[in-house]
Amino acid sequence: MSDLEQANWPLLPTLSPRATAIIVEPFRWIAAVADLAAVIPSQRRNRVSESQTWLIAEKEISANIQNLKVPAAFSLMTILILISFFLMSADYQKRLDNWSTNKAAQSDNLFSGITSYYRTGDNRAMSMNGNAVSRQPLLRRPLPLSIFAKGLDSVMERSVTIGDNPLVVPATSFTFGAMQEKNRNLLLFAPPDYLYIIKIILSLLALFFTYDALVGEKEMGTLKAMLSGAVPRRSVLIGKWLGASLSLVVPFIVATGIGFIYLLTLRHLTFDTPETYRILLALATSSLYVLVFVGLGLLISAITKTQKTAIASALSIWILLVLVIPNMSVLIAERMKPLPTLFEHNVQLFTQARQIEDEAERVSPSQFTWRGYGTIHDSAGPRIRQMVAQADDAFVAERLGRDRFARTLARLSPASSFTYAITDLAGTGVSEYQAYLAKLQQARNKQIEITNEQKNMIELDSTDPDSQRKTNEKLKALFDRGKQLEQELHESLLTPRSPMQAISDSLPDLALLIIWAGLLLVFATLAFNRADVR
Amino acid sequence: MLLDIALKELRESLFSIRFLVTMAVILLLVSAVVVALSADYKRQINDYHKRVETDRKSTANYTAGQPATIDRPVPALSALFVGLESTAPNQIQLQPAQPPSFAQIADVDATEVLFPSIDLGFCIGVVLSLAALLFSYDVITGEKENGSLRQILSYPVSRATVILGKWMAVFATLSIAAIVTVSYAVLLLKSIPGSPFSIGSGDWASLGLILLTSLIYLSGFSLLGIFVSSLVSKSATSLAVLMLVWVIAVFVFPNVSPYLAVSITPAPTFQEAARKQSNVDTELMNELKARHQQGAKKVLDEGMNAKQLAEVRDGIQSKWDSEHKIAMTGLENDFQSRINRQEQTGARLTSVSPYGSLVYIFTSLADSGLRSDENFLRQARLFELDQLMPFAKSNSGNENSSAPNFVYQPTPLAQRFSSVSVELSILLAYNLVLFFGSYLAFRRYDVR
Repeated sequence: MSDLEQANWPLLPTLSPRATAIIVEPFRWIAAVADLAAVIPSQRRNRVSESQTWLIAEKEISANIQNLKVPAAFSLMTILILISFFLMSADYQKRLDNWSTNKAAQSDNLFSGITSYYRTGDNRAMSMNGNAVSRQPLLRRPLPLSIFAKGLDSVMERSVTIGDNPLVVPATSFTFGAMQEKNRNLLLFAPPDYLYIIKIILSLLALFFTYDALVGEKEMGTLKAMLSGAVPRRSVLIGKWLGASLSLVVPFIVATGIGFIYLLTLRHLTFDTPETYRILLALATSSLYVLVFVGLGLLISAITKTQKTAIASALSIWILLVLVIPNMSVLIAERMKPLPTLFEHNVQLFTQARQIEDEAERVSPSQFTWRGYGTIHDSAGPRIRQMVAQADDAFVAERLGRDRFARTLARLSPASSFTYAITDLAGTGVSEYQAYLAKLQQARNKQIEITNEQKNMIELDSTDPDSQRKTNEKLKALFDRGKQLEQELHESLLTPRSPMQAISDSLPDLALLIIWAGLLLVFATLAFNRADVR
Repeated sequence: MLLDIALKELRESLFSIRFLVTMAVILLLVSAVVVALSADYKRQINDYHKRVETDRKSTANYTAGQPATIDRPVPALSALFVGLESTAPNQIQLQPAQPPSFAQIADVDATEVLFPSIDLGFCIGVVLSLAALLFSYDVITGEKENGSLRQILSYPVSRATVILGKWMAVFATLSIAAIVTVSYAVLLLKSIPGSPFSIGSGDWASLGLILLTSLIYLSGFSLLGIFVSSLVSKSATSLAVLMLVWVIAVFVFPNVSPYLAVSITPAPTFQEAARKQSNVDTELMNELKARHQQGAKKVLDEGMNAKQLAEVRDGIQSKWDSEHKIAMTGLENDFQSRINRQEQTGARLTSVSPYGSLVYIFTSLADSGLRSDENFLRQARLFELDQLMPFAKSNSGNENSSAPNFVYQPTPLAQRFSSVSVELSILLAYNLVLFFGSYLAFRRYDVR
């Protein structure tokens, strides 16, 4: 710990030696234990070199503490995590209230759910297919883990109706309702959740801790002195890497712990065991993300010649990785794979459905018409339903395909991998959304089966008036089946997938982060081995 | 002397590696952003034209009690300043017995939600503000460190002149960067083959004010750099402090404050409001049933003919419709005003941070933000009241008559300009405070 480094922070108060000792001591202790662990297994190893690494790491940590980098970073992290937990848990509570209001209303026979965003006007009596089933829009319960990564939760929380297609009336589709959040201000900026804080702040801090680790010492001339001893370059680099990583990760974990103490005081919030594991895994992923940027910072520090170049390139690369690549990937994917909008898709479906209806009209005219749609033929119903279902599925598949492409592009940056890993772990990610869409498609197919059966019965009804009572009974049975289906839907559709699936979803991105962290450390070592330290 | 200092500094900075690298990075980024956004913009315009066709048909349906939809054209400048254009719906539904409301957005790309798209506002607000700090963090400390500051001040030149000259140079550099960036973006957007981008004189004026705002914003950040640089003694310290301030101003404050506003000004959730509406709706429905029964009784008692019966029935229905609409609109407005208050508080809080102010100014001027949505909703209400309702009254049952068309009036320029005055004053205030701060700090600066 040199006076030079202390002089870096003349504005800020310097800790008393005693306080510093108290903070440094645990790290020293950790370093000593690790040192022992590294040395004891093989006495043949070069003891000097091994302990040199730890000595450098230890020196780095105590330097970071004494020049107040660690205390400053720690307070920043703690404050931001507390603010984030406070706001996002309030947001979760609000969304939960919203959901339970709806649930209460749905079980209420009088109101049977709130359909004000899905009114079909006065013509509801006209629709004769199975819309007794699933008329009530479904709302998905907000997930407690969305406090940490809101991700797509607000998208999956939209009401969804499995019933008449709003444009092609005889067809069955799933239709999403409006966003439950009406405050458009929240759409203008990304939500300040834990994921966001780590993604932006922690990566920047990691670069800030490391950009001058090598180039700074070179400028001061201490690097030359250090390397003139018996210390191999590899040890210097790994020591610096360990030092910077520990002095970031340990305060980060403590800050998160403080945040959790706050969360635990909230009565409405409890986490079960699988959720706790997921949180712990998210914590590990976040630490890994920090290591990626520590490696990047050291690489930059090893390559550049002056501190000014180092900081300028570090910041440019940071903007590129954290902000530009992930966000541009969406735009680039849209540009490269243009797809019709949902509106265009529906208009096209309408024309196709009309063709089928008009053909049927030539065969046998129908007395049912729907304003805005035209004549409806029960005989054409199954064909139209099948056509629309296939087209809808193709539309969703194309979208998801483009989305996969965008994700592949975005994965050029570790920040995207981190986002995907954390949102997948929280169950608010793309994988969960895809699974949700697949479940909706299955539910819609079941609904189509029921509707087709019901139509057949109505036709039977008109030809055979004697069996009126029987048909009514059958219809009732069908109605009950529809009710049962709705129950099943509520249970399967609206509950997220299992924790194990969430964890396995996140594994590819976790692996990518490990590769990033490893590669950057290797590159930094190689670059430093060739670096000119004069 | 002042000009000498400024020109010397400007010459130095214009040919410095820093400036050239910044320009290369920003132009590359702007190219990528504009090319990518133009595709999105084109798609939105095509979508709009198709929507308008269906809108025409739907207005005729309004007479039959079905929802009519109206759309807002894509604002030209939203190709550069996206705002809410891609995330929030820009279609309004009008229904005889319901208050007008924004339609849902149906197609959502998962990745787009996780990573909101970046636009020219991002290039200026985030990248150029960082450049402003990188140009200014060492203006004083750097000269002190290499000893030239002592030399300058040994000449008969006041400290005020020195700091003013330095600021002028940094500001001129940034102005060149900003002007080049914005004009390059506009030219590129216009020159992309098949680009539907065409802007009117009002948009040019908006673009001018956007550029001016960018300059004020960047000047604020350069003054912040100079201020911190003249407070501390080492460039490294100056940079550390500035990065902290930058991160909080650009990435923390704007994101935290909308959520904070929700906590400060609570509003009922959407479902709570809808439940309230549903209750009133059911009550009114029962009321309608009772009235129809009364009407039926009257018809039976008086022995009316079919035409009289229809008159009684339609009379009851239309009276109820208007009552229902008034009740529902009242509830909806109540809810909406609570949400608006949240949005307003959020906007006020956000604009305390310069980046938040910048985003509001850009989206207001580009007519792609919160305020243009309000303007659209107001016009939709007027359209329904003045054109659609009289038309429905006079043409009920007649399907072939031509329904009125909705023509969106873009937010008038004067209104756009006046709506950003608060944010603009905030940015100017930052400039003023930081300038005096730097001057005072530099007067006391220890140059040794």
